Amino acid sequence: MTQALLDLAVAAALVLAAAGLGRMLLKAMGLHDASVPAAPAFSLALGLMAAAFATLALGAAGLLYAPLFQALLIACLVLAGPGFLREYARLSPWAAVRRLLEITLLEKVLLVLTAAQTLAMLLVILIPPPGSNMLAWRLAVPRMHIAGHTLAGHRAWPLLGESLAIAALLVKSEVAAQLLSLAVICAAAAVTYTLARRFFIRRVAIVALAIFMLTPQLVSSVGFFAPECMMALLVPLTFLALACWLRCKPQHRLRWLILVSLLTAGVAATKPVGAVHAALVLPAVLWILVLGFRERPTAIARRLTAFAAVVSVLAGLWYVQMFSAGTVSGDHDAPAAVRRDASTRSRLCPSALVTYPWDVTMNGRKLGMLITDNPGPLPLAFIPLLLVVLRPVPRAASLMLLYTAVFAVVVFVTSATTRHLVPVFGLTSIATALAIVRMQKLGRMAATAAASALLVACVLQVGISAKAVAGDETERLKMVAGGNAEAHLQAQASVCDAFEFLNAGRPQGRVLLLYGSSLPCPRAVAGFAVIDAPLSADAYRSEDRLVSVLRSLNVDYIYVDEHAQALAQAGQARLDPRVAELQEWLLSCCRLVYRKEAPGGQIRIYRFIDRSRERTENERL
Amino acid sequence: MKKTWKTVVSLCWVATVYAFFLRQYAEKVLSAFGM
Repeated sequence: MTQALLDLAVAAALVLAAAGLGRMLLKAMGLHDASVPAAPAFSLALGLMAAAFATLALGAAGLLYAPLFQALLIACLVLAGPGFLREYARLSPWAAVRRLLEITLLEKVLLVLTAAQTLAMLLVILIPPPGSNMLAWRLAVPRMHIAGHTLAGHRAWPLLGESLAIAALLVKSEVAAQLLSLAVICAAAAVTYTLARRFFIRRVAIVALAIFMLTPQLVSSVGFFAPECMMALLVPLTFLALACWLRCKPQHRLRWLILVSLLTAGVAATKPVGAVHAALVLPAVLWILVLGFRERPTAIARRLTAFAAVVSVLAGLWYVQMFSAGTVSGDHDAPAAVRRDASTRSRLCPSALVTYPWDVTMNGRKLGMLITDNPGPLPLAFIPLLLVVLRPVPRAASLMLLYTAVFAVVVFVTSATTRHLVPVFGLTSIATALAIVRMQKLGRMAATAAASALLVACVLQVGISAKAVAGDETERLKMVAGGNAEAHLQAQASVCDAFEFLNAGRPQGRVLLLYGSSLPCPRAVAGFAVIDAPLSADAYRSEDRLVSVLRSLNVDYIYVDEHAQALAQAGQARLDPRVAELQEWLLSCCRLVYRKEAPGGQIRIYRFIDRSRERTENERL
Repeated sequence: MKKTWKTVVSLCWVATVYAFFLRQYAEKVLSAFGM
């Protein structure tokens, strides 16, 4: 419990330091708080980006040391924290309370449910990370960088979110890193509210805030320290900055353009899919310059050059490194031959694109693996109504939906994970809220039905979170309360034993994770080269082809985690039966060298025996 | 009349989405409890 409180205090200090630093940057750009809506969110975003870039620079200089980062945190707190607090200490809490009393009962209920959801997220976060994704990638790679005190710890440079994880890990712990993620989501909710309030009435803004925070997918994303959380803040923030830029005083235009460029660079630097954001913001910038400001061609060229320069210098750094290291797909340890998902071809058919919104929501058999892996029923139920029945769609909502559509198509093409849609949930929440409020136009019955549907969905979604906390996580909560988090981590990491076995018997080797898509244990990296991306569809063309691919990859062992296998099969109903058949055939040809019962099913390791190589060796003998 | 038609279409669509979602939700919750 003491540990959890300490984590909370450190996370609060990190947030305050970042927000204070961001406020100083805003002031340096000449954007004072009075002219900036959601100024704390802008400050936090800019401060976190500055912290990530500073971490990257210190990593490049080989200075990833805990005392240095702790000293930097204290310096930021002392220099920037008091100014930030003074700015908001002047605000009267009574005014906020009075405003809360003015809202309707439905809105009050929604805010109470939102608060309950935030508490559920906090409880999920205070528990040490359980999943292989967290242990293996989100936190393992930052740990590798920290272990070497430099960026040379891993082939892939840490992206913006991972740089923040490095900073939080150096200052305190992985729980502090996740708490930072929760603060980012809360800021994203505030930005969603402000963005909705800028274009629509207050009821739309409150409903949008509730829909965003009650999205089931956020519960699992926050617990993952997923970079999508950072994108969920930066994407609506860019929309807000664009709206402010369009309406600002002429002498402030360049400042707002720089802010838009910085936020766009931040999104592009958070995840490779963020490059789509830059590609979408560029036409918006051009549109505002040409039709909004009616600038002359030379001025337009100058402004566009400034935008492109800021984005390409800040984000381009990562892309150059990713392309040169061959890690742009995120398949960090996979040779180029195995990058493509075997199910990709069958997934990318046009009919699947049409049914994608339905599949994402009704994820039972196709996309999602966890109960929290969906955006809830509200966007699917109401956004089509906004487009068909409740027209005309306001221009702001049309732009948000257009952005969402393009982003969703890119996610559909590049990934089968619903979590990658989190960055647009703020925008879809606003469109959904607008549709729900507009149902009043159809009469009292439609308005009552919409309000009931909203309440049912929100209660269900709080129920999903409560189940995640009270059902799956109770044991983990007890361990945290008892201060035995390390023992819990050890218990969770039973998969590590398999690699301990390999490490003990044979210090070198190449292991293929047949079903897993991430490293099961950071320690595995020490002794083994792990191929953690699925084999390409081409590899499963025939038995001979499969063996020749494994031979070309120099595979020594094949690792099978039944839990990962079950998840893979649940998540990929479209997987070619031929692939499963060939995988079974492959394992029947290999020699079982390790087997252990784990909570989610058996963990087995097979020795890959290349019969043709054996035959050749025998012939030579 | 037009408004009535729109109301009927809207309510039918919302009900359809909820029916399917609730079925999935129930399946997942029950399976999570081993039922």
